[in-house]
Amino acid sequence: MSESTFMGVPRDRIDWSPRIDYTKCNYCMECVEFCPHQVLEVNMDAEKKLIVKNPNNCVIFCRACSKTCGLDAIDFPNKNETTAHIKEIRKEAGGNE
Amino acid sequence: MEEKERLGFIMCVCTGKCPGFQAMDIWDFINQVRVELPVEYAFIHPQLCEEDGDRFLADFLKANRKVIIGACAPNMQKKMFKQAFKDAGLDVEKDCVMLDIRDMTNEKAFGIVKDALKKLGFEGDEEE
Ligand code: SF4
Ligand code: SF4
Ligand code: SF4
Repeated sequence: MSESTFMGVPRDRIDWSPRIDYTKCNYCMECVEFCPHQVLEVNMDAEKKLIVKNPNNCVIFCRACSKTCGLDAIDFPNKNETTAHIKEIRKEAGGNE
Repeated sequence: MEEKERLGFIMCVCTGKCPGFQAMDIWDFINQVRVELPVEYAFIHPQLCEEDGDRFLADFLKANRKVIIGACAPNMQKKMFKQAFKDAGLDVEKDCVMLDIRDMTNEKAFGIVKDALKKLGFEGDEEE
């Protein structure tokens, strides 16, 4: 993907992507249909028919797919912790302009 | 004759880092909309479905404004913005036109906004 930073922080240093609760998911694939970013991958032959294939394609702080999920089977990292983490990395890099 | 009330256009860009808007120059696009189309105004919001987006809509919709929102899937937008419209005394079904403008070029997205305006009775190239 061409965009690889968020607020100047490398995307792969920010842990933000859906967590699928397989005890709830019924593989209706609504979330996959919504998200155009190839974050989720479907493999009908596998035991887990849906996996988070490209977590770094996920838009930081987006939770849209979880809102499409009627079963509430998608969760995300804690936003405040993620924000704090981003700030920390920015400080480390001396990026306080 | 009474001035016809124009609609505002809000473009939501999923933080601006969303791959869904990669094929588009969002700055050119929003400028083209605000300059060339019969809208009251047009602007970009980074992430309408986030908490600050909710707060923004709460403030913004207070004036009972009708808007066009260009963002992601309309059914999703409906889900995400319903409460904000309701809180402002508006009805998301009637007072908002939701457009999916992901994965598009400027030209295509512009056409979609223009068509939506036309449907609402606002003709694009008419000079006043
Ligand atoms: S929308 Fe929910 S239930 Fe459906 S596939 Fe996605 S996570 Fe599973
Ligand atoms: S949170 Fe947004 S970007 Fe991430 S997988 Fe879901 S819909 Fe896609
Ligand atoms: S409303 Fe849609 S386009 Fe805007 S940030 Fe949320 S998911 Fe992205």
